[in-house]
Amino acid sequence: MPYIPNFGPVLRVWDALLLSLRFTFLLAFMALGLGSLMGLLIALLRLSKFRVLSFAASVYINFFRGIPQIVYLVWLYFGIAMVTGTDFEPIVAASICLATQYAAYLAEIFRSGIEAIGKGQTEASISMGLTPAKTYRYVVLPQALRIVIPPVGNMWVGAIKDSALVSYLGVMELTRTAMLQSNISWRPFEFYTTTALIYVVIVWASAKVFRGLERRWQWA
Amino acid sequence: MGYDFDLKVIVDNLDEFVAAVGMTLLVAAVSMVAALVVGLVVAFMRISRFSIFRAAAQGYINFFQGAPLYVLIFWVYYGVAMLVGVNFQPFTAGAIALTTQYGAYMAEIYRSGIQAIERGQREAAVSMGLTTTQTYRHIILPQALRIVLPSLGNMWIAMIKDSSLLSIIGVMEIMRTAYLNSNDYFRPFEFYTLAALLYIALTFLFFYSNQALERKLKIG
Repeated sequence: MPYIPNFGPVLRVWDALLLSLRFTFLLAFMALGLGSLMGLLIALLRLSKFRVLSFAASVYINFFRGIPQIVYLVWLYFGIAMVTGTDFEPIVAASICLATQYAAYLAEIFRSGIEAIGKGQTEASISMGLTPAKTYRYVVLPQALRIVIPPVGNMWVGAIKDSALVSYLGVMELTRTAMLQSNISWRPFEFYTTTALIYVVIVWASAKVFRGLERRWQWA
Repeated sequence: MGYDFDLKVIVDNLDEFVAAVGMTLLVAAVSMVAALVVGLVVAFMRISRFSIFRAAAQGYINFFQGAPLYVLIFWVYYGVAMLVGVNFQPFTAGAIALTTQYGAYMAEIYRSGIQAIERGQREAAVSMGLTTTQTYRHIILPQALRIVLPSLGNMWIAMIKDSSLLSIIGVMEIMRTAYLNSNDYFRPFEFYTLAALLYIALTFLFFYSNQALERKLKIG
C-alpha cells in the first residue's frame, strides 16, 4: 500500500513551527554577533607582531575549525559540565559553542579582509600622524568590513543551518519542534520536508539580502 | 573539588576507536565518490541548453544546499524511508544524505571551474571540429578539475567532520563510539576529548596533504 503524504498534521501546528524560529534566529545572531566580536579580536591577535599572540590565535582558529560542531556541543554540555560541575542551560551551552566556533571562522575572514587593505594605506596613515588604533578605526576596518560582506553572508547562512544541530541538546528551535511533532503524528516525511523547505526559504531570502547589501556598499 | 582524568578507560577501548576511525573514513569516502558523480551530473544539467534541466538542477542545488545536514539525515532515514516503504540501514541513509548535500556543493564547484575556462577555448575547439563531448573530455574538464582540486580537498575535510552527524542514526563512527563509551563509563569528558582530538588529527592530516597536492599541481 503506497504512502500518501498528508500535510494536515503539519498545517495544524504551523504556528508552533514558525514560532520556534525565534530560537533559530536567536542562535544565529548569537553565533554571528558574539562570534564577530570575538573573531575581530582574534584576527587582530593573529596579525599581531608578537609571535606568542599570533601563535595562540592560530591555535584557537585551527582547533575550532578542526572539530565538528556536534562533538564540541556534546563535549561542552556533558564533558565540561562534569569536570567543572556547572549545569549548563541548553541554550547557553549552544550559544557558547556557536559563538566560539564562528569566532574562529570569522577571524580568518576578517584577517583576509584586513590584509586585503594594502599596507600602503596603513603606512600613509601612520606617516600622517594617526596612531595604530586610529588607523584601524578610521581607515582599515571600514574598508575591510565592506570587503568581507560576501563571506560573512555565507557565515550567516551557515549559522542558520548550524542552529538545527543544537536541537540535539533540547533547545526548542525549528528542528526539535518538528522532530517532536513528527514523532507525535507519525508523519516524518511531511514534517522533515517542510522543515527543510523552511530552512531553504530562509537561506534563499538571506542570500538575497546579502547580495543587496553587497551591491549597496561595495565599490566596483 | 578536582576531577581526576581517567586515561585508563580510553586506553582500554582504543581498539573500538580505531574501528570507529575506519568507519568514519569509509562513510566519508563512499559519500565523497558518490557526491563527485552526482555533482558532475547536476553541474552539466545546470549549464544545459534546456531550461527544464537548468531549473531542475537549480532546484536540486537550492534544496540540498539550503537544508541543514541534520534535517536531511532525518528526512532520508525516517521521511523518505516511510515514503518509499524502504527500511534504510543507518549507513545507507547517512551516505545518501551526505551524498545529496555534497553533490549540490560539488555541482557549484564544478560549475565555477568549468566557467573559469574561457569561452575562447570552447570556440576554438568547436572551430577545429570537436564535438561538445570531445571538447569537454579533452579540453575543458582536465583544466577545470585542476582548478577546483583544492576546493574538492576542502570538501573532503568538511565531509569528515559532517560524518559525525551520522552518530544520531546509529552509524558506529567516531562520535557514536564516544557517545556509547561515555555512557557506559560515565566519563563524557575523556571520551569526547578523545573524539575531538581524533577529528583534529584527521583534519590536520588532510589539510596538509591538500596543501602538498596544491603545491604539486602548481609546478606540474
